[in-house]
Amino acid sequence: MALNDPTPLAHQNMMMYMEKIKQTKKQPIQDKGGLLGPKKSMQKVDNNMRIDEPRLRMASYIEQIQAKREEISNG
Amino acid sequence: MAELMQPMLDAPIPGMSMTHELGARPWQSPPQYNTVEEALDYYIPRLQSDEVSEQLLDVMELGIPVTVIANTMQLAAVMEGKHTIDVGMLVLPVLVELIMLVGDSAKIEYNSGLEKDKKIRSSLVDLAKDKFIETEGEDEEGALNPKESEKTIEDMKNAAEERIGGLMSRSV
Repeated sequence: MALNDPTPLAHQNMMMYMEKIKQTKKQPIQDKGGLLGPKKSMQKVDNNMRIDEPRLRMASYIEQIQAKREEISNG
Repeated sequence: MAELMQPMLDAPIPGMSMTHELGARPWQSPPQYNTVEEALDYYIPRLQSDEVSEQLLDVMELGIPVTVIANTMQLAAVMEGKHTIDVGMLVLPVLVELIMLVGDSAKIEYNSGLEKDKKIRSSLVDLAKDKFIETEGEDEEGALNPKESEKTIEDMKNAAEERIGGLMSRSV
């Protein structure tokens, strides 16, 4: 199935990516360094979260469509 | 029935696709739509038009999975040279959701085609779990015994208590 039709796999990957985005947004900034410690994360900017990442834009479109679908199903 | 048993001799032979001049096929030339947004601008008006949406609903009512419809649409567009296959792969989940939105708004029952893959996924997860349990069992042989690990934790706690006072405080 997956060999001929990559759609379910692509859809599932996108759903997993959207779940990952939600989880990363929920995580609070942990203050570990004491008074002199850095307040912001010193990690490099996550390339997966950049707006020029097409996957991220697609995820936002899917969120909008899913919201509309929910609206319709809820009446 | 006898016709079905006949070998298919009119199928393309290997390498037949290479016999045309390079660039003669639509998918060998630069695509018409380069980005996913441009591709969506091509799809959305088509899906919203009465003619296409009616046909789409008919096909969905026949029980053809939404995933198959979406894949057929994007493959056809790739063959026509509308967009690349990469853009097609990115657009696929959006197309699936759009088609399901059309189905939901028309209030018809349809087959999303996503249930089958969940089964495959769960089996893969089970396989991964089994492997993890196996490797964990192997690791346990070489791991510390519980008494030793408790002693190590106690030592670490004592060391931490002695060092209370922060990084900048004077060391004893």
